[in-house]
Amino acid sequence: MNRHTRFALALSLLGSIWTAAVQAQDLKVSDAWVREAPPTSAVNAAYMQIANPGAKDIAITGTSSPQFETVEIHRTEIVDGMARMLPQERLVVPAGGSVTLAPNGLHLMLIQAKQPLHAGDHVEINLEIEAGAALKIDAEVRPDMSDGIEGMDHSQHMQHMQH
Amino acid sequence: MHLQPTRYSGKSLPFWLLGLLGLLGLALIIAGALLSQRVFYNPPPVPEMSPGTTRLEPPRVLQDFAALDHRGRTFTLAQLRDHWTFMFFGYTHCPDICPTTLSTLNAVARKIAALPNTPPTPQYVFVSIDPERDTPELLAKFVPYFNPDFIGVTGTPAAIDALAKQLSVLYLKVESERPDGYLMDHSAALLLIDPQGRLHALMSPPFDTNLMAQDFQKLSHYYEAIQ
Ligand SMILES: [Cu+2]
Repeated sequence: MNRHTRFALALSLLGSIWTAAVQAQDLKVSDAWVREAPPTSAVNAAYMQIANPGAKDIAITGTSSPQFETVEIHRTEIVDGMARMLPQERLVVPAGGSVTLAPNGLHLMLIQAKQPLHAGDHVEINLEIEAGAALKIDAEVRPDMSDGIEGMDHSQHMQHMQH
Repeated sequence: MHLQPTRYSGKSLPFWLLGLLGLLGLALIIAGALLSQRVFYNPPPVPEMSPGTTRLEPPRVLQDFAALDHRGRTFTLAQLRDHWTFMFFGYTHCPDICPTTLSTLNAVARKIAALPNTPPTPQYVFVSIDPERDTPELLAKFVPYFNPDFIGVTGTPAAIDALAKQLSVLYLKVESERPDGYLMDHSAALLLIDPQGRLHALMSPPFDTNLMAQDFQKLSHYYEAIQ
């Protein structure tokens, strides 16, 4: 391995680290929440908006939470009146666009809570980016207000993110 | 000249006869009115439903079934009579569409109660299509959580199957190596059962709770008008 190759390798390695950092920063997660569910529920769901103001598509390839055994990316779809959930291997947030995780659509399925959750609790969720970086999200547990209580505050609160 | 006591002259009829004739006339009028209603009966117009709601014409008569509610009491066709019922089929190991639909039903319940000319209060029933895992005890911790008046129903797989089939509700177990066991595919529609225990209408997602409450009001008023 000559100097040039080594240099190129180092540069590309540096480049990939740099890309990863930029990508993790590029995702803006807002309005992350977990549905308040009966404390006995074996499963739960987290919803949020993920925006990618960057110039490159970003793929989320892994999900986890210290408060749950497993976290999976799922999509609920209704075809010919039948509802089903399809596990997704990855979730691509398009460059300059966003994806919405919302009831009856894309969601993070939270499986087997280590402790029962109540409204007001916070759930830490980690999104792993394809490039190797990770994004830590804080999702608040709250009742499902979709069309529920009138006059609720729909303003979105930006989450603090780490990468 | 002295006054004679009032007598019924030959020209006027005695009171009792007048009364009888009057009654006869009244009876004729009533009979005529009833008859003309039969002959020239104008039924109230069939209510127009929102795009998500489908009326069954005629409503589908259901056979009896033997299920259990979340308190462990028998739940049969008799429990569907004398009130309207909103029914949804789902399972408790469902994190997204089932809790969402129960929250939707909770919003519908509140909107129906707030309507002018309040229609009769319906009951809300969540039937488990996963009776293997959903015991009455588990349903008792799940269903009333969304609204204390909501009823959870489970039973033997055969009983649930018998009820679901009559309502054209489909479900399918999706086996996997999942840590939470398995998933279920299931019909997403809400069913509306009338006070005679017949399948009266279907409501399909996406659900608009305002339209659902309005559709229910129209259906229940129409139902009462044609009885
Ligand atoms: Cu799911």
